[in-house]
Amino acid sequence: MIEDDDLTAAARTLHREWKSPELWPAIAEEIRRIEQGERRRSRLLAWRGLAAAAVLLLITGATLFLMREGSSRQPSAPTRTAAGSQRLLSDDALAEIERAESQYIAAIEALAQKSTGGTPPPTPLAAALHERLLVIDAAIADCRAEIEENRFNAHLRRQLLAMYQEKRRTLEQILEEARHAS
Amino acid sequence: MLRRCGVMVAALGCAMAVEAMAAEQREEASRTFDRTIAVAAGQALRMEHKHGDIRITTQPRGELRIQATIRVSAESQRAAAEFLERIQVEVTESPTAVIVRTHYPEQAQGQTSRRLSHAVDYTVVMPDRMPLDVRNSFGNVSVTGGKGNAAVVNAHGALAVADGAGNGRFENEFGPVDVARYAGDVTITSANGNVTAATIGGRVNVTNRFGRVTARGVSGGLLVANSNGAVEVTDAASANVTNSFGMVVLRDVRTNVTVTNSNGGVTGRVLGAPAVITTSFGPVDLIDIAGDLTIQNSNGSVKVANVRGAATVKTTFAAADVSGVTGAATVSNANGSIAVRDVGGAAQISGSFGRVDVEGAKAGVHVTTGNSAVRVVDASGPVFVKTTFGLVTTERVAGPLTVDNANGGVQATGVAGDADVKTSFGPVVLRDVSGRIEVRNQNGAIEASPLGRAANCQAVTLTTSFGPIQVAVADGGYTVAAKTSFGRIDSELPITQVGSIQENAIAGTIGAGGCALRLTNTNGDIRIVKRR
Repeated sequence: MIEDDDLTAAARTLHREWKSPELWPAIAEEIRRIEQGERRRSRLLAWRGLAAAAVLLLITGATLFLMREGSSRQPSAPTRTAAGSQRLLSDDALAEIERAESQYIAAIEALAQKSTGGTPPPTPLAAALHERLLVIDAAIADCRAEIEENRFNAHLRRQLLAMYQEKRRTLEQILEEARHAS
Repeated sequence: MLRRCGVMVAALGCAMAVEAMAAEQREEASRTFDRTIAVAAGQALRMEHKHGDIRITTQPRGELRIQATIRVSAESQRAAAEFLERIQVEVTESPTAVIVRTHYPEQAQGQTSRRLSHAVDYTVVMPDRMPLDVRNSFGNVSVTGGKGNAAVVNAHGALAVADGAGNGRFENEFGPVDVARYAGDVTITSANGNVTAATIGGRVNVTNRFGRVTARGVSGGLLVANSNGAVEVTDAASANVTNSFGMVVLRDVRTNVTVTNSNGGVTGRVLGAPAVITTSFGPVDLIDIAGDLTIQNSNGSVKVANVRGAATVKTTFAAADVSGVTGAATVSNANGSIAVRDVGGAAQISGSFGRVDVEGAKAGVHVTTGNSAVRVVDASGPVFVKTTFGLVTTERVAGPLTVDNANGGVQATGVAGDADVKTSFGPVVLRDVSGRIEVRNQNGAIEASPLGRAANCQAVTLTTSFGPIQVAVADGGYTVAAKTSFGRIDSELPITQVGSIQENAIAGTIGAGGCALRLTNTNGDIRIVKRR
């Protein structure tokens, strides 16, 4: 319970309002911090699980034995791994990332409206940047489709955030180019 | 029996309690796959995978070991375990290949699909001579070692290859490609990712969009087609680079340098020849070229130094600076200045609206420009200058000088040859000319000073209107014909008059006569002074 309180307190400190596209560093830091936190938390959970297992060892032994007997033969038996390994995110981590992600996306969309604005690209560079934007958006759509089937996969989330980072950079270049052209 | 049931009920209750304690957390399950296969000669490894990393290393034995770690997370341990069991690593063998595929079960739509996640990571040790064909997405791929041909197609992840041989084809989308210490030919295709190729024994062919390309230590030829990303090449046998919207930087490229860029600059140090650089809207800066150099730029400056061959440079709307060319230098610029120094061959210069400055051309200078000043210093061979609305200045020309100017002055000091000058609305000053002098001016003064060596006859013809004429001659013989309409004729040297004496014309001889001294003016004085 103490750990839960600590986590609750820590979660409160995580709440931040971001209003600019400069969110990426914060998100990247969040992912790193959450993953580190998950490793700590996984150790705590493992300890709690071990304590419970120690108490229940005798009475669960038979159950586990029966379950294993009933399992199919695989190259190796499935094992329960500590939640929150770096490959798959926990609920908390995902919620935190999705919250930050949604704010980041909102900021980027605002930037996109500002930079694209419906006017035709005035220079070859601006045209190339708009083309790049289309390519990035297509890749984001692909990644999002994968995420719909695999929401807790950390690699997909990192890829998506990297793409949004590229999109932000491209939008900033479009704005810069528009300033030069005008 | 009752006792056994009691145990199971208690276990279930306790498990539920533990599950309730961890209700906030997802459950993760994993298992491993491990299989070793004896590989026959001629078999290739083919892998088709997604949602996970692939790490491949090699060893000399004919064994292929495939290990995989399969992870699933779900809202319950049971759901995770069930899904985990349904993920299959399929290994099939044929005479030509060992094929490894990852099969993920179809997820039911709705809540279940949103609560399940998975990842499969491979670690493979393969025979070093086994050909490789990998297709992966949404994961990283690394390949270390290997002497067979390799093809890796990845997407949405990093791709790293090292210490390989054979021919390599590596593709990636939205991720970096890093190939290092590869003995064979390498073909890299990327989109939206940086590409690095370092220490490659064979040829390198890179195609990229929207990413940086870096190539170092390429023993074979290098071919780069990029757009919207910088290209940096260091230590390559040859380089052919196409780019747009990105800088191209070259260092130590031994032969055949071709760069076609647009909207980006080009920088080069120690380049082989021939070197052909084309770009626009970016500066070109090259030093130490081993042979002939051709630069075609527009709207970008050009700076070139130390070319051991001929240099041909063309640009617009920016400065061109060419120095240290052992062969001929041909420079064309519009609306930008031109500076050419230390040219072993002929200097052929064409410009407009920009100053032209030539120093140290050893086989003649030919300048055609407009609306700009021209300065030529220390030139050997014939010098020709044509311009308008600009001052022409020459110093120490070891050869004949021809100037065709309009609305600009001409000043030449030290001409070891004939001087032929035409201009209007500007003064002409010629000093220390060792050959014949001919000046046709309008509305401008003329001052001429032939060198006057006794052995040479230096004919002097000076014509102008609305300006004075002064000529400084030595005591040698001249046949004088001077005429002006509204001005005086003075002479410091005695002239023996011949024929009728007129107020504004004189015909006679200085000394023994011989060389023609024709001075024609309309509204200005004529003065003949003794050269001092």
